[in-house]
Amino acid sequence: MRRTMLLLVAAILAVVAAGCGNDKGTSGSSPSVALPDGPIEIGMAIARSGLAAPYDLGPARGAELAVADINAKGGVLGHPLKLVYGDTKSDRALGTTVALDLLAKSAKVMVVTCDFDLGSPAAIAATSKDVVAFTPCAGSSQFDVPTLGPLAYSMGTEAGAAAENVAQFAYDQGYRKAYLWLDPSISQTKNTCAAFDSAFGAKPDAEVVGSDTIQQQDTSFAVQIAKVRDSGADVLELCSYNPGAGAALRELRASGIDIPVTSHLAMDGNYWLKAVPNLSKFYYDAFGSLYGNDPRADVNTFFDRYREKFGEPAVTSYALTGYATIEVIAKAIESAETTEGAALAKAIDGLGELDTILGRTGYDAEHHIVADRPSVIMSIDNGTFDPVATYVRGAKSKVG
Amino acid sequence: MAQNLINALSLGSLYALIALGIALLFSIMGLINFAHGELITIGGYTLLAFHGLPLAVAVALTVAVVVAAALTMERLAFRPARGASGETLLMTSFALSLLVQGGVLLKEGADPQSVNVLGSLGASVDVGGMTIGKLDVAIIGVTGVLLIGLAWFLRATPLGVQMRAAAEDFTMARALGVRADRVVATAFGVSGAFAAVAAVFLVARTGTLTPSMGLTPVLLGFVAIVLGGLGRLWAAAIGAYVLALLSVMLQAYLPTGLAAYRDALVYLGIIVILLFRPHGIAGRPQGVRV
Repeated sequence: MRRTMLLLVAAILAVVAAGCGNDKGTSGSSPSVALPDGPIEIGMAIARSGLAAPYDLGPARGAELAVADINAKGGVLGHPLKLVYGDTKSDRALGTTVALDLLAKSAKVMVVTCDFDLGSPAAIAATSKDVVAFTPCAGSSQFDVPTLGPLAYSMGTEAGAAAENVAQFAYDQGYRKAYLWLDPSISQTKNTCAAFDSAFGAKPDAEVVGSDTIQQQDTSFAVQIAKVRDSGADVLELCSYNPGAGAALRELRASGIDIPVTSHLAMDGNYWLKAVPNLSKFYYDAFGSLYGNDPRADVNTFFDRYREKFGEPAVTSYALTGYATIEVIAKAIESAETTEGAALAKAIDGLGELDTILGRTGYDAEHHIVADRPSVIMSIDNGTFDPVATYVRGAKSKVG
Repeated sequence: MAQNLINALSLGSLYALIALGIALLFSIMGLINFAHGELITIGGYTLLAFHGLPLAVAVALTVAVVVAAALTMERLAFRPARGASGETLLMTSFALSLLVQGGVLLKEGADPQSVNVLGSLGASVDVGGMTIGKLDVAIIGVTGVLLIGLAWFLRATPLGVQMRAAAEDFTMARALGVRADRVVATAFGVSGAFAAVAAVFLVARTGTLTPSMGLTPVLLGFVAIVLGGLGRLWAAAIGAYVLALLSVMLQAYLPTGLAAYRDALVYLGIIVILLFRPHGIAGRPQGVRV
């Protein structure tokens, strides 16, 4: 028995040592290697089923549009780009497996799920093998260098920065008493509510009059609604995501409370709107409007092309982030002339402010998530979506 | 306080609908039916499919489809396993649950869907300073009628009496001439009907559907049954209302920083109750009679 145990331990140690050896061979400051012949493969370790699938579909398709555009112009340094997919099934544990599988299939850069909690396992798997990982739209401030290291990037707008924009918008609308509803199950919603709380509460004559938790599995929000009613709030900040957020809004409006509700990116798209018929006075920040009325012509053109190529309209403006992610990756490979992780990251950090479909986007060695991107404030009025203002760095930049 | 009691009554009624559907099968054949959640899911998506028809027709069709699904489950999955150990039945129900969930996923996709059902009840009225949703009134009222109906059925009809006899002692009931197939199939049918009504109210309340929408309700149903006490149907309903009361009161009175731990504290409270009443609030000891 003891001998068997010893053999087992020896075998485990051998496997671990072999694994470490492999890592050593590819990590650290190895010299840049030239791009091999053939296409440059970009791994897509994303959710194609499950809870996160609706959030990942658009960016993946946006990425496909960008790849088609870049390849039509001759690719990157003469190499076509190619997306290779794996399905994490919205499962954190599967994220690692899928990313490792894609790396084994020679993916040179990894694109991961649009959420820190669900996307970080695949990002860690990639970066531990010296491969750059990009999430198109995770907004958690944790998707940055201190948590995930120097090879992980987010094309998303940092949730706190976006929430500051929304808080300023709410203040500019004349609201002075905010109430917060927080779904604490993911870090993006926690970042959002925390930033809104401190930004709104710091403004003259404005205060956060209360806060409460709502949870995805709740079948009734009656208690939370009663507290909002008693608080005298003139605006509700909803830090949650669907389907729970839609259910909470449905019950809120059914209870007769029609104060304005502000929210965040996770509420983009109209797929949840049937749950709250004739919704009005609802505002959230988005990457852009997908309804043909964005103030930027290239964004409207993008969504027209999306519809044409995929035979259906985009569900959310997240699709833009997939396009921008590939734009940045392509530019960086062009600059680094390699896909080796450290060299590619250095190139991304050195690109400066790059013009992408999302607007000017830049990173440096310390900041790998975007904090100064304009937030397009979308309004839902009687079920109709309109961009009503644009805010950046907590200040209004333009109308519409 | 009164507002919170109304909220607890409404939530408890929804839980009771779910718990009774599960408890019925447990008392008769000792089956812990995890696939009950999938009956709720089937009900939700059936309602979505028939959305647009007159409400009464859509609800009637939903009940019919879910009852048919429950009877099919009984005939194809549980009847062949009748007499098997509790563990075997539990595994069968798990397998069935995954199978149905996979089927719904395949047909409807993983994306959440939204629908406006019972929109006419999406308003509230002020009564003595309290705000009462019309939907809450409907849930409380319909559950009350169904509970009374079930009581009448079990006490006043021959089939109901046979079901009660089977719940007391299934083997003895069979020996005395109770037709097991008919009794068990009826229990599945009634369980399905309760699941269908619960699905209608769940969808009406949340407006959203996902392939895993039955999971949370079925877990709450089981908790309610354990809390109320195994072996007695009415104990399940009592457990449901106590569970809802605990949940609502904690949501209402916990400090903001602790509100995220509401469910953990609810279960802590249930553990404490079970420490003092191991057979549940209204349950009876499940001893082995010699």
